[in-house]
Amino acid sequence: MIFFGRSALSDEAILKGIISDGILQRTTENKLYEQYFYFIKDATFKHQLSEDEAASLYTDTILAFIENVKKQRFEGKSAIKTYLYQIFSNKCVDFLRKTTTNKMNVHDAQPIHDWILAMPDDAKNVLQKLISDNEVKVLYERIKDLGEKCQQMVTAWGEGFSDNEIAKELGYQTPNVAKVSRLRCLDKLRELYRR
Amino acid sequence: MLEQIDKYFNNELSLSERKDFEHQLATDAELADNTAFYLNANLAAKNLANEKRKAEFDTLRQGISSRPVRKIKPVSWAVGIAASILLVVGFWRINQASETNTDEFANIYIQEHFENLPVKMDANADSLQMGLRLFNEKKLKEAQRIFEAILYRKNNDSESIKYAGITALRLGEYDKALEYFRSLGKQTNLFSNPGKFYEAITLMKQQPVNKKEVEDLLQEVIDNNLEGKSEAEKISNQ
Repeated sequence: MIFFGRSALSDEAILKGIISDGILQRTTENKLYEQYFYFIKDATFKHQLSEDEAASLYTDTILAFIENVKKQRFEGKSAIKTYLYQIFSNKCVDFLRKTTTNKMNVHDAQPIHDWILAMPDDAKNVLQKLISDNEVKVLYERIKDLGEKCQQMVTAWGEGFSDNEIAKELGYQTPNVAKVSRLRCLDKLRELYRR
Repeated sequence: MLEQIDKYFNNELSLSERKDFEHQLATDAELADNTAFYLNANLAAKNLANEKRKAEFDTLRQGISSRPVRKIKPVSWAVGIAASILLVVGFWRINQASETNTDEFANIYIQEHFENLPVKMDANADSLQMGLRLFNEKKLKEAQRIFEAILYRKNNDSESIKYAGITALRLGEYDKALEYFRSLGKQTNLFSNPGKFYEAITLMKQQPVNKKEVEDLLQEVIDNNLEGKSEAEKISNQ
């Protein structure tokens, strides 16, 4: 059993846990966070970052890794520790560059949604003009104005959960019922957004 | 319109429907506008999910940082004594690790399933619904009083037993929670009975953890196809 086993998870157990759903996924992610927690201390020495700065970059690293695993971008060519350390080091160096130069704004770009990358150019260009960081920020606040259930539903969708997983996690009878409810929540969000 | 957009991004359209959608997107301003809303909303939801997860990791970090640091002092005594100490420390560490993991597992389950309980939306608020509302408002003691008052009148009411157990668990009254969940687990006339699984979750919170009892309960949940089976299986298959 996972909680009676060794204190450090193997790479295989981490990958299996992250792509599972519900509680096992969360437990694995938390365990992963703890497993390489010492990176934070290393960065405070190596890059002279404050502990809070290093911890924030470490959290970003773990979240980036989880996303890469879920989207099958992690090919397993290196050990998880090596891969994480590489992402973390790059983030530390980027952070230092940004804080020691005045070029922060140069690096800011419009958000690009992964889902439009495979679209034909004309459709992609139309959408790219309409996707903006400002609109995302407004919607971020509007989601918080939704009822609790809708907020959970929309956040789970943003996290990449399928309707099947949402149904299981939020107690809907079938994935189809979850889908209908999710679309209703998006409708409500659109109303709030355009009000 | 959102349904069509959702189908497109979930790959639920046929090839010709996809092509039509993409063609229409370049010419129909309303469709483009709604599609952009859908994508912006997804990015915003993703950001919100990330922020929530960051906050959870931050709490985890505070927990890790506040753990006492154990320093290894130089040992100049005989090798035998050193070996004995290491052996004791080794056993202690193994025990610590499993206790942290069971506790962590139970915490996540409680956080994900017992943070808010389902309340019916109709206006006829009976005592049970009132208890659930109080629970969701984090007025746990008041909710507990209501659930226990219902049980005083109807001591076999499975819903009240379940919620009284969950409330006791949230309040850290593990012995009381176990009593409720054991009583729930014994009811054989229910279509779905989470009693045994909740009993296992409660035992995971009790320190020191009785590993054997937790394992046996989870196995019973799996063997008898009880509520919580899929979670129990996930743990067992690791």
